[in-house]
Amino acid sequence: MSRPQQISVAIVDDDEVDLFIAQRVVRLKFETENIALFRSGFEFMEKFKDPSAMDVILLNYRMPEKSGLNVLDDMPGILPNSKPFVIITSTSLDPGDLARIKAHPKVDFFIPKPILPAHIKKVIELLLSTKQH
Amino acid sequence: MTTPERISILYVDDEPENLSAFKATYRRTHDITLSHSAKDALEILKEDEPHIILADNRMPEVTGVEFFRQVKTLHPDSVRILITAYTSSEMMIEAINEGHIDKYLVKPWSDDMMNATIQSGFEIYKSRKELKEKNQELALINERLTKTNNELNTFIYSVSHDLRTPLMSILGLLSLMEEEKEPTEQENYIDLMQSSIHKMDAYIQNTLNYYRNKKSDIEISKINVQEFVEDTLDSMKSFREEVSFKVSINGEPEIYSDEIRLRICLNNLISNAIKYGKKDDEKYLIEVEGVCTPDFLELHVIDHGIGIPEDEMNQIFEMFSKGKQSKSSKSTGLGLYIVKESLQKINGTVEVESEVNEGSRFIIKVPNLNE
Repeated sequence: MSRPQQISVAIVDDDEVDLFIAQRVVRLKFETENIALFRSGFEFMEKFKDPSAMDVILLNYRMPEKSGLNVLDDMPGILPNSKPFVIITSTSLDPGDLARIKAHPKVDFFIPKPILPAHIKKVIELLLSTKQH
Repeated sequence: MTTPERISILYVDDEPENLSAFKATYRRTHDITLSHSAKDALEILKEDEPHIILADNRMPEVTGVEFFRQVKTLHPDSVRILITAYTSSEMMIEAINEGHIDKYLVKPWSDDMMNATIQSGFEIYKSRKELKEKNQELALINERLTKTNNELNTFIYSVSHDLRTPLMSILGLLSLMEEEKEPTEQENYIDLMQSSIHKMDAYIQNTLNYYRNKKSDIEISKINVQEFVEDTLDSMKSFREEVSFKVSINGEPEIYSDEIRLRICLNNLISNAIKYGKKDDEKYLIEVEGVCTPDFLELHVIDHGIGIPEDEMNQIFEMFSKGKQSKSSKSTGLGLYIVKESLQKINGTVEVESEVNEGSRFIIKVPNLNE
């Protein structure tokens, strides 16, 4: 049996617990050590200079100071339909938030929290297999 | 007794005798302005808004109807009365129907007719003004209601988001536990669940405090300052075992204020001081200094924690304001907002001095409400 692909993932979330869950889920399902954690949109923008180095970004939507979509707006290196694929996560039930997320061209997928192991595996595999060519 | 308001009238007529006769009759009872042409009258109307404008229909440059068409744009509230020798005229009927003139008087008019027309015209003017004021009031109320409605929408969605976040975290941790291969991680999961539950509880309490502060009236009682501070600190000690408190209260022993609101404020400030302590401090000290005079109570809550960056100082008391520091996930964004709102209700104030990595000093000041 072949080992799952060693993918690289950036996770951006202001909530410590959700940050832990996301990294643990990715580690468990993809057996990868290439995980970078960021606790705010600002920290992510400051440290994440080369977007092409990552396969996937798990980006929380509602964060203080800078929302996930604001981060995408301010990062020209992240392009629609190409690596790194952007998955927005959120617990928001605001229809306005959901419409904004859906309409954003750089968002490849939206996952409502909680991030469940089986779900995230399916979504990331789907993105990598259908969009990367 | 109040003096009845004098009615201001602009009378426009190209016949000087008509103007003089009108002024002679009405100058004692009303404020009269005369104009011998529509052109001059329009100049006068650039400065003044008379209650009533009378104009003869047959004038050399423009007719009274045409003059009123222009007047209506300038002063829609002034009552426009046309004086005409003709009882039926298509132009006049059209002018009435289009609203350019409000009334007309047929020449020759009697004093009784003129008086009655002026009085009823003035009533129309007053009704228009009242209607305008009421409409303005309604527009303001509507604006306020729209704002409140928008705030309520934001509030509801923010509350639901912030309540769901720890709940979904727990759900996420539970599903993760089922798949976890490392047995040593289990304890970590339980700790994280506890932290999520505490966060949710803090959020519920803050939301309730916010609601109580908004809805309930203030209740003034006598407060023993030393006991009040120590009670509040005792209730907070379990949150971080290594924290220690130093209390120093000087001056008067008692003050009159709203104890519940004051307790909410001190609670939130102490809770913040605990939350934003430095992670590696073994013994974390929080100081509460107080001065109570016959006029006011001033309390200082001093921590030696991570401090507040200068660019965030202006926003910390705003609703749902959360700092961008790494510990922001502990914040509900309501605590300091409630402190500010609660203090406003009891005529108090809050100020802050802070330095990054040195700590913060929050100063609350409330007046003695003993009447």
